[in-house]
Amino acid sequence: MDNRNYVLTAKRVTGGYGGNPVLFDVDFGVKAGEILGIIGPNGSGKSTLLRVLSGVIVPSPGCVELNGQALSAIRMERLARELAVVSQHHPATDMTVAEFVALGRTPYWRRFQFFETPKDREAVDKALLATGTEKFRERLLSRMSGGERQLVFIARALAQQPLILLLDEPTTYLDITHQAQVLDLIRKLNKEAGITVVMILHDLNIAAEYCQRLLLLDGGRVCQLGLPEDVLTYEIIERVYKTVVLVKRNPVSLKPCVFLVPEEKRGAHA
Amino acid sequence: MRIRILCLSAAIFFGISLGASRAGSLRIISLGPALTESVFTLGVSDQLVGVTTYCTKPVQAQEKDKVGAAVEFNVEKVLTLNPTLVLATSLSDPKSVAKLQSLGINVEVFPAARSFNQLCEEFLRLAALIGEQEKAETILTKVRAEVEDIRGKTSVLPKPSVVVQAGANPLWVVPQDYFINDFIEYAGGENIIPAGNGHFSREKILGLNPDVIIITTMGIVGDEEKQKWEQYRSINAVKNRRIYIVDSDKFCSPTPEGFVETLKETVKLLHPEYEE
Amino acid sequence: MKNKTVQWFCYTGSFLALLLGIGVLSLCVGSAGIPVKDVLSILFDKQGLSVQHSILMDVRLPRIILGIAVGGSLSLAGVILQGLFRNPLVEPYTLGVSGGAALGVALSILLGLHHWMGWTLPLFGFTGALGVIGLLYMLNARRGIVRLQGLLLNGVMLSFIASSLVMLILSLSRAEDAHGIIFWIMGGLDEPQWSVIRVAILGGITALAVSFCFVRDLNAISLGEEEAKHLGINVEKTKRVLFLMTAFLTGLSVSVSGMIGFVGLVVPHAVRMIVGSDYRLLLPSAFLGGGAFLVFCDMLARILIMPQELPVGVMTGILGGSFFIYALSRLENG
Repeated sequence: MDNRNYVLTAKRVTGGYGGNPVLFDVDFGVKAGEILGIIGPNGSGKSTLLRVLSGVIVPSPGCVELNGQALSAIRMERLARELAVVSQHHPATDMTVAEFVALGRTPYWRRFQFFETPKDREAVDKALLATGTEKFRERLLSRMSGGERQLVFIARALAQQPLILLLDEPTTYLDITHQAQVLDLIRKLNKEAGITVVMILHDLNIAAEYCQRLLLLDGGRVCQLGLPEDVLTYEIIERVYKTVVLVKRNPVSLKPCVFLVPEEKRGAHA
Repeated sequence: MRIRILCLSAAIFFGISLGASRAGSLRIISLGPALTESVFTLGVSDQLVGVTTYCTKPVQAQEKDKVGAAVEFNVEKVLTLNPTLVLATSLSDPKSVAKLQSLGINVEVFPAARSFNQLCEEFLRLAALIGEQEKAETILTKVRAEVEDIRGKTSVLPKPSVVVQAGANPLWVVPQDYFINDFIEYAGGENIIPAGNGHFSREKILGLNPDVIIITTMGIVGDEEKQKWEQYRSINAVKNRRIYIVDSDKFCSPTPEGFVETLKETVKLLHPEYEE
Repeated sequence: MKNKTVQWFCYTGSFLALLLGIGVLSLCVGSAGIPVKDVLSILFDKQGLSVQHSILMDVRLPRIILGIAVGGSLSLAGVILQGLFRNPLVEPYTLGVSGGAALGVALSILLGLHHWMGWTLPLFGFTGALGVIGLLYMLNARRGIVRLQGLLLNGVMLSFIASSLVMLILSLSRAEDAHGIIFWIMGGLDEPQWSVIRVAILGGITALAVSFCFVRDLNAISLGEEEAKHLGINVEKTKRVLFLMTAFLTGLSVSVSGMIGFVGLVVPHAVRMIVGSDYRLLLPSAFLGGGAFLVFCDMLARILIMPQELPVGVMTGILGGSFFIYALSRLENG
């Protein structure tokens, strides 16, 4: 495999929880500056893969490399300054937005530092501005809507000033407005700040629209990796998702579009 | 004329020093009812400045300042009363005792007596501390004589087998090496619980078939225990209706004179058919 | 974001003032009936020979300082444990360390190894506590991963076993020994030795300093262990260090003053309601607030039924429990 331009590489990763592996021989690379979407049916190991990529789960056998260096050899603090994760779990907390985003500066705190430095404050301000959550500074996190909260989570990840952003289903519980907001933000960060993005998405159309490449997982194995139009063919989708679909091209963006075919209409489809 | 003045001043001087030696001599605080009683018996109750809320005998003791209860007492109160001698029991809170001692106060601990003889020794020790040995020895001689007298009279009487219950839940009876045993022995009874541990199961005691069961009061528990014993109609004590409940204060921590009184009561319980 | 440094000084300063105020109040009241206006002159009496001086300096002051040490330590341990376990009902005694201490003391009294004065009783208590800590560590912190749930469950079970064993020892003991054991367990701040008090307050302050070095870890862990890992925190090391530290602190407090309950449970919650959930504010406020609470309860215990004293655990239980219920109802309505 060509190692040039790969910021994050998974090398023959097998791993999971306890003694039960969920991923088998996963091998791929994330190009610098790209948006990679991870898709696949429920239980295919997407979240597990994200955890392996972020270093929380250690694969055996196999390893993950960040810019050529094995994750296990990198100190957690240093890793957190290059790689930030926005997970699905929403922690219960009574912090304000500003306090929560400031936590993103944790990897930069020195040994006996107890309060934020001006540099920290600056990073927090930038993160809030970039995500458009500046006006929510003093709002309690628990009193915000799901969409606004998601933006705040991204802001916290941005405060880490990472080179790579990993997101686990960032749009799953959001309405269309907020979905668009979050996705446009991600695209902007990728274009303007050059942040590499790896995100797990459930919605195949969103994945096709916003990701430059797609990684399709099936049963813990890499099924397909490539451009959306190469991955989202109806043969592949029907095989992996075991359901009948119709794939057409989006007339505006020319990306593939996947349509569900309800049971009663299945005869009509060729 | 001069001689008269000399004699007068000598008398005054003597009187003052006598008064001083009595007035400034002792300020006693007692932390136990038996100790308080003993102080009164030895005639130095005017030097007693503090007692516990449980010191009810004699009645005059209740008028003294209170410094606490049986186990714990108030260190500040004790300090305010400025004592020269504090009489503590083995139940008094050791930490507070240590505190007083660390502040330079003379605390004498009187452990619970294990026998009549030890009771007398402790009484004598107390008397020595307050300078009334003679009085104590007089009292003790009289008490010892009475006890010997009773012992002599009861030794010829038939000995009933006796069990004294002093604890419930768990059941605890007085073994032969315990203080209360002396009452039984001197009153002409036989304590069938051997020396050592007092924890016995009811079954084992039933197996020994006691003639007399004595229960020291523990509030209502005493009555409950009596009822429990009365269910076992086969044993002698129940058959002959010889289960008695007695005042635990009299039995557990008496003064020497109190010992004699209680001993006489015990004799009445064990040998009701004989006149004293 | 309001300036955190300013906030820190405000809250810490307020709690410190509260503690000093209650400390002074406690120094002035008691069954010796020293009038308040005389207290100052008595304190600065150069010769220091009067009985009243002795009462203030030798009887009340040590109790106040020990109250600060124990109240502060237990509250500090409580607030850290509640953050680590993310469980509002966890408190220092849940770990079973206190049960071990009680067992150590009971055994030493039963076997006649104790002396009423001196270091022996606290030492045996601490040894018992160490035994439980070692057992918990071996069962749940091997192989690098600290299993918090295991610690909690094993701790509760060990607590039950220890208290059953103590009851066994009580039933086998003679009256005076049983009395001694019960008395020790009931707990109290009337320690006669200054050296013990010094150890307690030093331990508490050291623990406060050490735990303050972990504030960012604690704040991150409050979001979840995985989240904390994503933020670069070495979660396992933090859990291990903090567990051991709080366990030692609890063992020390219990060995010195017996079981004084509720302080480690209620004060953290109360402080959280006032300062929020940032550990930079929580740690010093919990320590100072806990010290103030215990000194206050001890003061009440000393004066409510003068000249007798209530066990201080009774006051912490009643006051602490009532406050808890009241505060919960306020939260639910407001």
